[in-house]
Amino acid sequence: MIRGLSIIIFALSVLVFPYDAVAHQKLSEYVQHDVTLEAGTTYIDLTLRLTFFDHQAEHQQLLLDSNGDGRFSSAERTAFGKALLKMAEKQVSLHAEGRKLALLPRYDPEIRADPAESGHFEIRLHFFARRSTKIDEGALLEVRSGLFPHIPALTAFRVSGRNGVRISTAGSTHKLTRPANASQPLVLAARLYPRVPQKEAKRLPSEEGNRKAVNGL
Amino acid sequence: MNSLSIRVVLFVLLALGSLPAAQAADAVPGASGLSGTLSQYYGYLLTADKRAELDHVNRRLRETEHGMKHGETEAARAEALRVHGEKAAELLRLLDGIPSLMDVALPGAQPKTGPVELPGDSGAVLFRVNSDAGNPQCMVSELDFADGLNVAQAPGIDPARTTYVLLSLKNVPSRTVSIRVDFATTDGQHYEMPLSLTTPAPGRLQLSVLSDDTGQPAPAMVRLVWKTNNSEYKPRNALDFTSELDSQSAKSTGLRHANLHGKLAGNYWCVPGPTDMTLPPGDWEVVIRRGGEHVPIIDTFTVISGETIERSYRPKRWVDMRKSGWYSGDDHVHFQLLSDYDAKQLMTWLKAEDVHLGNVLKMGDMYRTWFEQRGFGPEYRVQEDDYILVPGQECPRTHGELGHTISLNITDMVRDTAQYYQYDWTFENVAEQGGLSGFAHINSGIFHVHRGMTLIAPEGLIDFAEVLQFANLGTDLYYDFLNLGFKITASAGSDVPWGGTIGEVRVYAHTGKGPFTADKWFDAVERGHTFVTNGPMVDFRVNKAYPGDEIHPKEGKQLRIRARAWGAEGFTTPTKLEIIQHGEVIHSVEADDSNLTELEVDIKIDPGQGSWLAARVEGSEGYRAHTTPVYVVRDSLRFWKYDAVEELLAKRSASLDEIEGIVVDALAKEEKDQIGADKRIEELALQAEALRERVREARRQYDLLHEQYLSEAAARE
Repeated sequence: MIRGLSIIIFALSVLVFPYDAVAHQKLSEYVQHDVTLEAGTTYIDLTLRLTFFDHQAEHQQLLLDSNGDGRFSSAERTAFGKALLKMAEKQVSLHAEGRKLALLPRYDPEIRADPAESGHFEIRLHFFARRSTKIDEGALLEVRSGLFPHIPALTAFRVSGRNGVRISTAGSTHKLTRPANASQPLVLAARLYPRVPQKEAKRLPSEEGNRKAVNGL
Repeated sequence: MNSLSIRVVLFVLLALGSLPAAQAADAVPGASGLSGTLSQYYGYLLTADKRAELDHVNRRLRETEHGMKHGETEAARAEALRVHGEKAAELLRLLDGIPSLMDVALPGAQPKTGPVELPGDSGAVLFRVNSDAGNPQCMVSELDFADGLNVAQAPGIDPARTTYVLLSLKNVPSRTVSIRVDFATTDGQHYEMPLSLTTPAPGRLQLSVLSDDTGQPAPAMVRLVWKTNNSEYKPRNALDFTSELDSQSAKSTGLRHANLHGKLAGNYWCVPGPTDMTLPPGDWEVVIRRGGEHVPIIDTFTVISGETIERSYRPKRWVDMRKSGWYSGDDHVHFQLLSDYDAKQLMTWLKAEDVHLGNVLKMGDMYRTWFEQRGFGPEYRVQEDDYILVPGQECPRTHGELGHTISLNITDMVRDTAQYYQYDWTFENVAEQGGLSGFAHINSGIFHVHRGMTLIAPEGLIDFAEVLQFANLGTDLYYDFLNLGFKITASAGSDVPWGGTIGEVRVYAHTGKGPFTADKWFDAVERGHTFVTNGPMVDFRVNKAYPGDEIHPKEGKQLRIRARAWGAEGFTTPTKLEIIQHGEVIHSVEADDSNLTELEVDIKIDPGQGSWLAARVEGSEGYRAHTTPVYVVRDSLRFWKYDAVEELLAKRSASLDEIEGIVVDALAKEEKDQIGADKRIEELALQAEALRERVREARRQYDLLHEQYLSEAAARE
């Protein structure tokens, strides 16, 4: 019951009482979204690393420390993570050629915060979606994030492929920022490219050189 | 299938027959939570072949949980429940197969004989409580010794169920430690079990990175990952930048999260030289980078308890841009430079990333400054070999008004809050000092930078624009100004500490032959002889002109455009090379073979009525490069995108309207005595007339451009 209540309070705090939202934006008042999309043949993995700076970090720490004892207990982290996932369910999505994919948490949220470091608060959310056969090579993938809408957002977007899948970022980078209270989410685009046939791993000449360097010492 | 797994399947089948699927969703409560934690951190408990199976089971459990709740039909939800039961049973089979699984029978919670061996200072213990009870449930618990506790809590044990408890242990003291595990049952009983944990004797790593140029130890960016649980370890001698980064933000430490793509993305430490450190035994991965001109090294090795392993790496240069006169720089590094120690710290980082010129920016806003410098000008440059640090400034910076500006190669800080919104005043003063000025964050367009650019561009004071930052190339705003016929050099800056690491994006300037000097580099930037990149290299010429040059083709002569893009095989290879004219792609080549490391264009085009031409490169994943344009000018014509001029002028007019709007708002607040302590608004109101005059002047200049647009019509027919 208490946990449920704290989730509600958390959500309300984030949604209704944003800290110093618009008036005086500077880089440290942004929440930085480091978004990583890794495409494989069966699954597409999405990781959001949200870093809060300075007093935004302090604000998140206050929310995390729901009993105010100055420590971040495992129960508090779990409750905070659940509340985040609930928000993310509605506010984070992955699309292939405009079609929304079922995006599910791969791991539980990670909350990286230390009461002794008030300026540091980091959240990691891990998701995945099944890559259906309908997602062709050449398909445009879009990550949309409306998390923490009242805090301006700045994004770094990275992509990678595995098992021979090729992918590259795409689209206008002007969508990589989102002002506070924007009605539209961040939209990050990447395109899949024809898959590279898997060959036997080719050793780079430099690797051979490196091994010589290792062996020679 | 063992008896427990059979019971799970039977339970699910019974649930299917008697309950709506959603109600029966907790067939094995906590299964996905445990599978996720186990898969993410403690895969070492399983054999290698079982880890991939666990990852699949974890995903399927989560998919079927979703299906049980959100399946479109009752049948779909029931099917999801059935599969969920199967996957839960598979998970339990995997758990039952873990060699170190510890059975606990309550009441009693007998102590295990002998200590539990952990792989290092973190690890996990898996308990199976009351294995005969059936109806299994799963839970995850954690004990972090950094919290000063030695009791692990395992609450919510249902005596009627078999409970799998994954106890996650962090920061475990070395050698042997005694703890208690408190199994608390749902009927209010507590059973404490003493448990001894041991960690193995560490092994020792002696790691050195050699320069490919000299063969001698050199600074490098290093990531060390313990494959046992994928945790990252700080090299013992890694630099800490906390104080020099002015304690700004959560990212002001020595741990740098590089904004790179693919397998190079992630955390690195700056390691100044050979290191010697103890590590938990097991398999390790090391990633070593020495900037964009070296092939990164990704290697694995095994640390054996009590033994020493020596590893020496020599990242190979895949290209040496210096040989063709191109030197890398970062236009946007924040770092306090008040002592020789500070300088040594930053110089080490610069060398580790192999960036030849770092512009170290003192930062200011209306209220204060950060990242203090000893001074500005040539006497305050720091040079070692062909690596140079040059103090500059990021100021004025207004976040809600006109954007952030950067001034490079200054001899004195230019800052007067009484003229803070008069960016032209700053730029003119910097120009008088022989410095260069431009706008930051153009790639993302934040802080209303379009307003500041609109105000200053007609005066010809913008030397450069940051079009590549935080791993992203953004050219929309840049192209708008080029398309109006303004010459602006493409630049790039990491913006550390908000960015990841120095040189994660870089601007290359062509300094030509002879020894490298800072003056040559700035002269090249002033002339626009640059390209920006976060990976691939690009060479671009129109006839014999370099980026930034202006050419006047003769009537009837075609332009020869040659471009070449190349990258490090397996990392930054180009996939597409485009020739851009007025922001449009006029020619493109794509790699049809991923093993290609190079793309080339050699075409001829009609010069038409003038334009700007540039090369743009897309690399694998998100790697990008872009040149400053070559400006093709026909007599009496501007090189602008003629057909778009009216639309572009309208955009600039709208930006000027916005500036007038913020001035009006500030004056209204002043009128109503609502400014309070907001110096930002106070100064805006005080400088209102001066700013309005500049807006009027900008409008006059844009009107003149419109007149030129009309007057060129006849010549262009």
